[in-house]
Amino acid sequence: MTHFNQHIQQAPWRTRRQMVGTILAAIVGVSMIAALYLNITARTTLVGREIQNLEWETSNLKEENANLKTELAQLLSYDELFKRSNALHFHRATAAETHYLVVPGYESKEPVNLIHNSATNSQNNILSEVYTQSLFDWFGQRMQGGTRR
Amino acid sequence: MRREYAWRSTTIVSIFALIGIAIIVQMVRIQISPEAADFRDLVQRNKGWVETVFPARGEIYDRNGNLIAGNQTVFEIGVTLEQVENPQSIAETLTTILDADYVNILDKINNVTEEQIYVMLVDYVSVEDAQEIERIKLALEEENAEKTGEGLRSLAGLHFREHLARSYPEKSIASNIIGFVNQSERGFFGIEEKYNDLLAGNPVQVWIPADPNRVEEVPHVPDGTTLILTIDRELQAATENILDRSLYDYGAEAGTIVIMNPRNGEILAMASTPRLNLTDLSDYNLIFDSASEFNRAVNMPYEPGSVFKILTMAAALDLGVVTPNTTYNDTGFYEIGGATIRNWDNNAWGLQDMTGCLRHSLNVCLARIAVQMGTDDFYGYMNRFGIGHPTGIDLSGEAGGRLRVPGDSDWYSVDLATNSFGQGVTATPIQLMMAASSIANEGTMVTPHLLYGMVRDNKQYNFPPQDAGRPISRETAIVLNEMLANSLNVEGSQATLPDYRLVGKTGTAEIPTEYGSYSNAQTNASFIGWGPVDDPQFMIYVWLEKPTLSIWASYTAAPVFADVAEITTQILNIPPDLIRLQYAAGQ
Repeated sequence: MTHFNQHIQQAPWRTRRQMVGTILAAIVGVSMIAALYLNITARTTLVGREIQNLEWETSNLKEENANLKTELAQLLSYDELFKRSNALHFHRATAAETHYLVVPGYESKEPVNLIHNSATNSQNNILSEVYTQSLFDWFGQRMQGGTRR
Repeated sequence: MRREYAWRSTTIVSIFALIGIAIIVQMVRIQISPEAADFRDLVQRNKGWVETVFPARGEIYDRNGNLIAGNQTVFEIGVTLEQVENPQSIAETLTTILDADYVNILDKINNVTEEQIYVMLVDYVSVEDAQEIERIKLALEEENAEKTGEGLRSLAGLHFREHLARSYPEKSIASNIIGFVNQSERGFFGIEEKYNDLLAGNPVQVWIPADPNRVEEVPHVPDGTTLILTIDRELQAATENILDRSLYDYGAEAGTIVIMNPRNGEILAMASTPRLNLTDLSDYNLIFDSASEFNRAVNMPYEPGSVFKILTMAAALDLGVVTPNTTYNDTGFYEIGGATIRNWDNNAWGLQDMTGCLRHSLNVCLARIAVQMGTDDFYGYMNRFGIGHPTGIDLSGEAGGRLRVPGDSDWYSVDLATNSFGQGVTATPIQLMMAASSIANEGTMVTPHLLYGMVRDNKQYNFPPQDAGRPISRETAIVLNEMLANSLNVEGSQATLPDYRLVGKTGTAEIPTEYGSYSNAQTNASFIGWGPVDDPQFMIYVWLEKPTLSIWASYTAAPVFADVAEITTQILNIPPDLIRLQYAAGQ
């Protein structure tokens, strides 16, 4: 070590070179971090803009969806269906024309479940479980899968 | 040489240092300059903007998923004032296409304050009309591009803003239940008013940052809650058709028919006249004289007459004052408090048991029973049946009716007798249905309701039925159910349905005049009934106001009940008793 220090002191240009090297290394390091930061920021900005566009598109689609639902409801409204069935010479069955049959396992109609039928719900299921389950869930699932096998 | 280099280095360093210092000085100068506030405002403006987000109003569905109230795109048309070239052209075009008032439009454009930059001219313009106006605007722009000079036709400055507005695909069907939304997006009447806060959601002022990196900071504003009602659209429409036909057939002024599931209080249909076409609200003032006419079943109390007798009989049976076999000798009149109570036909009916008393709807019989019960018990039971109180049904403007009780300044001892057969007391059809549900439902009274469930944040929440107390015992309810079924199923009754055993009671009530007396020329004809007797799945209330073909409910309201019962069994898939019991036995 003493020998090394002696060499350095004998040639001052080595000290300067060492200092310049250190500064350059620092500049390169900072530049790399800045580049990385810039890259990440640019990507985040692009994704942010994409999200803004998608939100705008979602809002438009929701509006269009509302319009289509209303249009469909108008086409399937009681008055419209009544007109169409009349045009096809249908009429409501009278009590005398109605015959009841016992159908095993028949269950009377339950009121609607809008979530069960909705498209939004099916969209939720598009995401694979891998993206939503916790490590614990995943482990449990693997264990169950292993047991089944 | 080295000194020369040192000098150069010093110069370069000094220049950079000076530039740095100059930048810092300039920054400080700008910060403390008089324009600093303007710069800060400019920065703030460019950082983003505040926007009020109005959530889309929640939809309304019937129990089978048919859309009753939805949303539809409409346009607001306005002008950006500094761009307007020819106000007359704008007024003329809007008048021609939208049937708007020419003078009003012109007035709006010309009479503006200095600060105004935009004026809204018309709103709720349909997509088709807005597109037509836009097409004319573009055509005029193209035409004017080749011309110069003043006075050219131009729609420059016209601005279109689209937004969602309420739409009612079923037009007038169930309009008395739904109510409507006005142009300020506030619900009026019915479900729209009762659940306005839920349906409308919460308008939120949101800061929208221009910086895409802060997009996650924008809060999600949920849409209004979607509601699912208990009504069945097919049954509702069929009931309204029957009601309209009945008014014509029997010459009645107005009417209402309500169908409820007596087991859980779900309203399956509620028809009332007159009805408003919800796509054209301008007719409101022409159709309705008062707000209470919007839904007679809930908003308009009346003296119901003999349908009330079932409540008096229920109380008497429950107290043990009478049994079904108790007999009495009907002399045709009964004196109380200086007044004489007479039967509907002024005749004496001789020896009668309690079923005969209900079958022949004898006022004298019920008056005697009420007196036997005494005021405390009679009014105590009526209170437990909910008479004189709103039922709590989820519709706006429910009326509570009036039951005068001892101690009230306008109560007289004769009221006990007249109240027993439904005169001198007012109630709405829905109150009487709630009270009668205790008889149909083995003593348990149910709260009538229209909300089946609601959808919020992608989850559907269904509401369980609510009991409204147990005014009578199970035994009393079963006995009275049987008595009413026996009293209804007699020869000549127009309220029966082949193959189904039903329960029911007519009510013909004289209408009080403004002079305090009663008019026997005009009546309110009512009928309450339910079925099938052994497993009640529907309860029907019919009220025809001032029928002219006959004043008697047995000739007007009773056949209407039978018609409604028939269509109800078909739409709800309720098989005839024999088949149903066979099926039940085979299970």
